[in-house]
Amino acid sequence: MKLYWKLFVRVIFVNTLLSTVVWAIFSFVMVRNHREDMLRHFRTELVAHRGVINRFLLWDDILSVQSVLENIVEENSIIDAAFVLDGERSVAYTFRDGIPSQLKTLQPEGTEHPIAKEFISTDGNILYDIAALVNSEDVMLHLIISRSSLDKESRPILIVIVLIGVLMTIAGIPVAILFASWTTKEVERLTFSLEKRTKELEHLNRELESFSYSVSHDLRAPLRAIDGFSRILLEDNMDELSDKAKDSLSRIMKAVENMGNLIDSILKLSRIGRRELERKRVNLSEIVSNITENIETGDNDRKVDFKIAENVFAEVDKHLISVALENLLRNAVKFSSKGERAEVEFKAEKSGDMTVYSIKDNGVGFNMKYCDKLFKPFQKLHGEREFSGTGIGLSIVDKVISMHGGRIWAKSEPGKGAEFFFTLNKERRFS
Amino acid sequence: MNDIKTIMLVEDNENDEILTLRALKDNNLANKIVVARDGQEAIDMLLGKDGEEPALCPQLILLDLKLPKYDGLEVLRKIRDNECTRLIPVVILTSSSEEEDILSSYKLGANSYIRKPVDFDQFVVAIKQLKLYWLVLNELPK
Repeated sequence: MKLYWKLFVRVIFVNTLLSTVVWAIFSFVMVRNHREDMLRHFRTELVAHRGVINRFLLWDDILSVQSVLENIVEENSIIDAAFVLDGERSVAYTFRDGIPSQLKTLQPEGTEHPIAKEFISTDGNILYDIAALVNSEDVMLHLIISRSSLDKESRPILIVIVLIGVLMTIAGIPVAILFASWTTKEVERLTFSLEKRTKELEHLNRELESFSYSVSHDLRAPLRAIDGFSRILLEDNMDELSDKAKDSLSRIMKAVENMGNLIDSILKLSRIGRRELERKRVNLSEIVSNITENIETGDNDRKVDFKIAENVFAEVDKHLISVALENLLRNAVKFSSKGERAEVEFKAEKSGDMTVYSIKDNGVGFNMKYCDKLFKPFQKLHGEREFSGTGIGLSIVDKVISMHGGRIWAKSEPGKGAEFFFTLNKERRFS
Repeated sequence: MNDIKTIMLVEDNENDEILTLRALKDNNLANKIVVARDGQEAIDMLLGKDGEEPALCPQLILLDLKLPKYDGLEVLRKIRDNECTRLIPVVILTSSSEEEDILSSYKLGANSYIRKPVDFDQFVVAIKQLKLYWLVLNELPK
């Protein structure tokens, strides 16, 4: 037997109960002029579902078409009919309760393939041939089994099963390795799990939103009461209260203030994570100098020398980068507050094809052995008595920088100031 | 519909009510203050209960957002939908600083949005500015 096979396989079954919607789809399919488009479409489908190919069968002879179809048809099969063409003959199969049986030989051996025409099955259903849409490749076998069905709500659904076979010779025996992909079923399953997942995520997101809402609203209300009534107590009983009692009240109020700040910082961190990045070209130098003006007016007693590199531009989310820069600058000012004259510098330098931005201070610095803790939330390298803070600031900065695809790192030595470096784009890595 | 010097406070939290009244008192506010403790009560007072005449037409409404029955935004919508109350200045006074709340409030016609600070002294300052602006400087149609 000549081992060079040309196989084209094609099938379409259209149930007479099809709704007009499905009819429309099929009419479209039947338009010859769109053949190329459809071919492309099916190929895309094949590529898209390559990952779900789930059958591996040996095809030892063309006569086994029926057994192959039997094999791929599962108990709960949804296939009603299949139409198979090969180089020598065309065979249509019909399925009853999942068992394939030969319907009718459509064409005598040796004649050409009938292309894109209608066939009437024995029970009066119309089979449409879409074989012409599939390329005639010598070593590939395509089988497209299609049918319509009605879902639980009686809406028509179209189900397509795609088979791809590779013909080859193993030890002199012609075999076809057949991969079958239950395309639509798989798509349905994936769609279902995707919908389920989306619902779960939406639910989680709503929970998260209501959580931050509660944090912002409900947790602050009792704090406000503690602070308010402590102050009223202090104000109304100034003369009667002992110094010790006044001290206790002011400690209560200080603790409340800290907790209020902490809640605000946590909310800020969570809000930043929820934000969509909007990159635009912005002047970082301007942002830095605006921030430094506010920092200076906020602390009149002390002079800080700001050295800001001019015209440093970057494609960033303006709001987010402002938050990050403000945190870095406030830290720089705060940790250099013990020195006589605070110096804070902002600059940008090229390093390869990357720009590295930095903020440097001449403050107390820190021991590099703790540097892995720097960007973790609630981690502080200095005691509250020394420098107040929530321990959230650098986590916010880290979050913003990583949202931009950049990274942040620091260099410091105790007593010798600290310098924070960051990039704002993905670094190109060469392998 | 007569007492134009009344301020209406819509607040369900008792502590917040006491603190707000105290902050108003600390600012020597002479106006009469009426408190509604949920959204329904506020709507009944402003728009009239069961077709009755409204109990008051305040000069200023201080409105919390998180309220039982009708929330602050629903109260605001009803105030703005009604011909008699649509021009009354409404200041949202709330714990929330969620962007969503701020945006919704302004979209529904809030005149101002103030987040209640945790620090009572800051709250007293906020109330002082609020009083100065809405009750002294600001002119309303007669």
